[in-house]
Amino acid sequence: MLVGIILTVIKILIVITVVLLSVAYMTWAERKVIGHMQVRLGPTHVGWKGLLQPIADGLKLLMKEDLVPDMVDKPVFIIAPLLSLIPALSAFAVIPFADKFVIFGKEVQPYISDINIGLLYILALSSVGTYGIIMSGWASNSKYALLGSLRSSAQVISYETAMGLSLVGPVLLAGSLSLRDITIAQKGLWFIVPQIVAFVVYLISAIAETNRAPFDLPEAETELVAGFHVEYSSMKFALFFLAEYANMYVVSSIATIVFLGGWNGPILPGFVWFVLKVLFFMFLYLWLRATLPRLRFDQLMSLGWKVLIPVALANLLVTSIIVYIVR
Amino acid sequence: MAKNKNIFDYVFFTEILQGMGVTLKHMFKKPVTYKYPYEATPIFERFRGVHYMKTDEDGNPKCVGCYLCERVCPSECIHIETDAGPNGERLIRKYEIELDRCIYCGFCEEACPVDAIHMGRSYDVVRPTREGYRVNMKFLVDKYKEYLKDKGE
Repeated sequence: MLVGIILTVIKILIVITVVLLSVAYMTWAERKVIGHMQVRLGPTHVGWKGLLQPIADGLKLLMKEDLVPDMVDKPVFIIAPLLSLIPALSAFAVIPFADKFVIFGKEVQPYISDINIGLLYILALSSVGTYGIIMSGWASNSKYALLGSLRSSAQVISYETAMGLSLVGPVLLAGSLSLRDITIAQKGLWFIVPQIVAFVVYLISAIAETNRAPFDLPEAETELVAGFHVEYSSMKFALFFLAEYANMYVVSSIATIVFLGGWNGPILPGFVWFVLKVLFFMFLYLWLRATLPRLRFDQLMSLGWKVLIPVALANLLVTSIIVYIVR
Repeated sequence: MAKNKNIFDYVFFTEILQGMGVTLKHMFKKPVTYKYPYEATPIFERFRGVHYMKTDEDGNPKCVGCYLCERVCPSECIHIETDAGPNGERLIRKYEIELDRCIYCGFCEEACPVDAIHMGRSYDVVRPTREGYRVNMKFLVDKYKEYLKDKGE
């Protein structure tokens, strides 16, 4: 029992460390990739090819004065960044990075836990993350921050629906909400093939849900200063930043597990396959960001409600009928 | 939402995929960035930078103190004072250009009848004080020497 607890704590520490490092280096990758796509260099100055840039950025943010504006709602203002980050990191608790394997005669699970409603848990947490954004906008006592956070909440509510509906198709095929069972169900055929419609819907709504690329309305640096985190500085700002990138990783991991067969793949070990697929999705994020212009707000809403949700529903209907007939 | 798109383009995001193809192609191009403090950016032949004053064989400035550049200067940043020499020739007592006021239009260069004042190609004059921007004849002649050295390379 005690040994089990200690092992779990060690696993949690490893996962958190790896996730935070990945998040830090994602910022570097983003600047580098988008730089090269715009025929520039991106960061080159700190370390070899700018590789120490994230660490320098982190140090800079730590050194900066952490100022709280005078008229803000203090407790809410301070809780908001935590409420953004904690759900994003908690989601990694149920993500299966690789299959169980046996080492020194002991069975090791390379994931923290495998609960039978893993997918539901992650969807619930990603909704909680929105509270952080809304609270930060409200507590900042600034028109622009409030507008940004309201946009964000509207966006997340709209796209969460499409996202949930698109995930039901694969769940029906797998017959389970546990992420591990979903992965095992794709041993032969990845769900991207029978569920290509759901995959596209999921991709669009996932990008919208993480407030990025063509759907980064809440940040709209041109019209809303910087959206919800305009009044934040120093480490609180960094927490929002970390939350955004951690959420990207969560969303990419779900896409990998539910549509691309998680750790299933030939030749290479499972964990390597998982990482490769996740990194492909992360690259897709940057790629889209370098390609597409931002949507107008009404376009965003009409896309979510008039296109994605009906398409996801139709896909769900067809999938259900087929599954019913086959069984 | 475009109205006249055909259904194929609408369903398969062909336009988005085309755009992504373009960005992916660009990713493997060689960046066009000049790493400025480490690499010199190219300066074009007709760039008008800090002035220099041409000199004759004896190393004296060619300027004869005719005041034409001072007269033509739109920002009035050239200040000249002259004196009569012992043999009745003009001596230039002061020839100053205020570089912080100068708009680098090159009129002085065009107005000069004796091919003396010229626009050079250097741009690295940043000073901590306004007074530092007042440059005199010695500075301009030194700039000419620099210019000759650069041309020799």
